[in-house]
Amino acid sequence: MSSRSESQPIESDEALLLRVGRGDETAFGALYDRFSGRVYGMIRQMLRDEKEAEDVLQDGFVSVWEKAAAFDPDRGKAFPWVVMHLRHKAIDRLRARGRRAQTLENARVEWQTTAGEAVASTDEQVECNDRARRLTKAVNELPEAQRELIEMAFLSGLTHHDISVQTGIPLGTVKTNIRRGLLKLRDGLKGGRA
Amino acid sequence: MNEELQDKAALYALGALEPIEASAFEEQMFGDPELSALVGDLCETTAAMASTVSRVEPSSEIRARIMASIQPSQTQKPLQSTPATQSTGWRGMVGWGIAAGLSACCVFLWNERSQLEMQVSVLSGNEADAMQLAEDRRLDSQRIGKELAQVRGVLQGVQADLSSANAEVAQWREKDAMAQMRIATLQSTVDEYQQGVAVVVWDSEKHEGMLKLERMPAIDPGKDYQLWVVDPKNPKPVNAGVVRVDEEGFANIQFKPVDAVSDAAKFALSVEREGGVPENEGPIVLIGP
Repeated sequence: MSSRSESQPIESDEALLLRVGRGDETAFGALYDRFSGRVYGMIRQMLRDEKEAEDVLQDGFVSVWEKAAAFDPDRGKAFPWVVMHLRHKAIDRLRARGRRAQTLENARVEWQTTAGEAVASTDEQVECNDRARRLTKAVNELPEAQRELIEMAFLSGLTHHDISVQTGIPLGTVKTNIRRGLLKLRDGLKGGRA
Repeated sequence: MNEELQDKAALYALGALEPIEASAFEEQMFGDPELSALVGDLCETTAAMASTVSRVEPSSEIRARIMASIQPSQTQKPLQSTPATQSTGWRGMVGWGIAAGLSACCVFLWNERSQLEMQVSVLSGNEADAMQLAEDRRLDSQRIGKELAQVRGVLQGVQADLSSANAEVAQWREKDAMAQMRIATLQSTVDEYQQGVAVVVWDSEKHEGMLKLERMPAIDPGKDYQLWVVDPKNPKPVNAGVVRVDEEGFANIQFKPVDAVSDAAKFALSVEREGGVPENEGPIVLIGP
């Protein structure tokens, strides 16, 4: 994933994050500008609370700044690395409060209805658009049982044990459906890339 | 790679593992390049899911807050160095001293924080190990319990079989005991005694027997019936004891010959002097086949 500016050559996300790891505040600002919109959208949808989402965004990006030196481009890309940091912060927040059940259904509905919009409204990052489109298609092609569990895990911050308890689905079935579904999404993402 | 690991990888990528499970999984992933690559793929997939959500631009105030709150971490090397300035005297020295002190404090605090993070990480790892160990022990205990129950079941079966076998052996022993018994009916060529009934049941194992007499003629005074065992291996009949009948000529006695006899022995009843004699003297009135 890359960003394009009018006056500077494109710098990859990974190069930017490596500079952040070396303490480059300018690079950090650029990284924030590049990722914050998508990440904030995700966090808001998970938390369903603007104030909490802002707090998590701040904590998460400060954590990215502090941990960036540990980023290894050989082990993964920058955007997933940042997303994972922010998701962990959001999940911690969700687990700390007891309103997961109330927020989940609203979040799922909104994710399902806005997933298509994201494809149409994302900016000039063509590759990102393309990946989002492929993933949306792959999500829609998932069997319902797999899709619902993945949505639940993605948005709710629930552990697999909690999901099993809340849905009444046996733990083994929860694990199997999430694994199969996520592997299909991965394959859909990779297949579309080829 | 087995499905259990793939399950964990998927749950880890979605943040759906328990914290302890996640810590243990990270350690496992660290030494497994294939697993690490799978997790990388799945995390990328999860991140791509974030891309499908509508982007929302946060307010500029948040950006300002974040930029204000970041500090170079211990592992980061600041790219911009502070330009060197010349000392402007005593006040400058004090300022530099305070700055140096604060810097030292910062470094100390960062060190402390790093050490605490490492300790937390180690403790988390230990806790995960302990949980895993406890889980292993619980599973072992369940397995042993099941095996024990199976062994108990087998033992009960063996005990039942043993009881059955013992009962069967007892039956065979009883049958065998019966097989060792020989029944002989004594008969007479003398008219006077032909109405009499004499039956001997002989136990060849114990070398003892039982004699039953019925309708035997009354015996003369000064005389007694006496039982003998006629053994072909013994030149003389072996004394088996005096037999006294009642007024109806009835008697039922147990006897044991004074000497050992062979299986081929016959039984005979004679009329002897009262009280019996060590060797046969009187007439044989009944004899077995």
